[in-house]
Amino acid sequence: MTKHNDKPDECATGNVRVLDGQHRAASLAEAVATKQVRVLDNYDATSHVGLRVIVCGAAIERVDESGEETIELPKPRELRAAAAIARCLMADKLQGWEIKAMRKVMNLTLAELAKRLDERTAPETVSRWEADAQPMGGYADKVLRLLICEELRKEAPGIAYNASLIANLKVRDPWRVNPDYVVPSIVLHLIQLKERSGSIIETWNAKLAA
Amino acid sequence: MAQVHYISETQILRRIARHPDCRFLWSKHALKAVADDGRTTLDVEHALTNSQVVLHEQKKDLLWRAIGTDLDGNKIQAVVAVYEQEIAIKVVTTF
Repeated sequence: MTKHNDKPDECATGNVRVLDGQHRAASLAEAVATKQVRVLDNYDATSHVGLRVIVCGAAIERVDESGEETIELPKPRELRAAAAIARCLMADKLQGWEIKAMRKVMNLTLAELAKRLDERTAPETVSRWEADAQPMGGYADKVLRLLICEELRKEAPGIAYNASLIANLKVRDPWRVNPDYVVPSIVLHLIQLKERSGSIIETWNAKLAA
Repeated sequence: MAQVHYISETQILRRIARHPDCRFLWSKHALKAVADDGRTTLDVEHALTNSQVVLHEQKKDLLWRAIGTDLDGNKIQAVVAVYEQEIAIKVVTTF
């Protein structure tokens, strides 16, 4: 695992010329002197999450004076957590690319995830799951789902979750009968939720695409 | 030729990218590049938290080119505009 260099002044190469400039950007409002702003009804956020996700009524599209279009998703960390929990609550067997995406949402390396699952689980095993080179057993599947949900639940209060949902989940393998099966998209909406303390928070709520 | 590293820009970029409230604006071009490379925007966001700024250029915005690594150690380059006051980063492209 490559560890990144955490100190900006310690560069990877020995042959380095260091400049200590004052190159600051203009303000965002100035730079994105926006010609058009709109909230998109439906936005495919798969490239933001790594899971098949549609965001409804929340993605912001801006078109600036030069015609450059940008997309901004509100609360991206919470969005990813909500999508991961919603996926874990779906009965379809987890695919390798989904395991990889959810590991990254939890900000864990292969070794860290392996250790969190079980001291005896090797990072190579997790790597093979992610590459679909080795099927994950039913027990490991449930432990992984539990780990993901417990790790991310605080960031996704809008998703109704408790551990018994995972315990009672009957995981199915639709690819056995249909190799072309596609996991349904998770549809996420921003909702307002009243917490026990009485404060109102904005959070993501999920449902499955029809 | 020596690789140029911009210390203060690197510090600013890392600080903003690590901020829990940092907003990320993605150009359509950057999103396409991310998808084409089989990555997610999360990989790029992670790379920016440990990146080095190696080039800056004034175009429509003041753009910095940064090189970092994702969670699995894969190298990612991105061209970004950083807005310190708003705690926001616009990702123009990645490669």
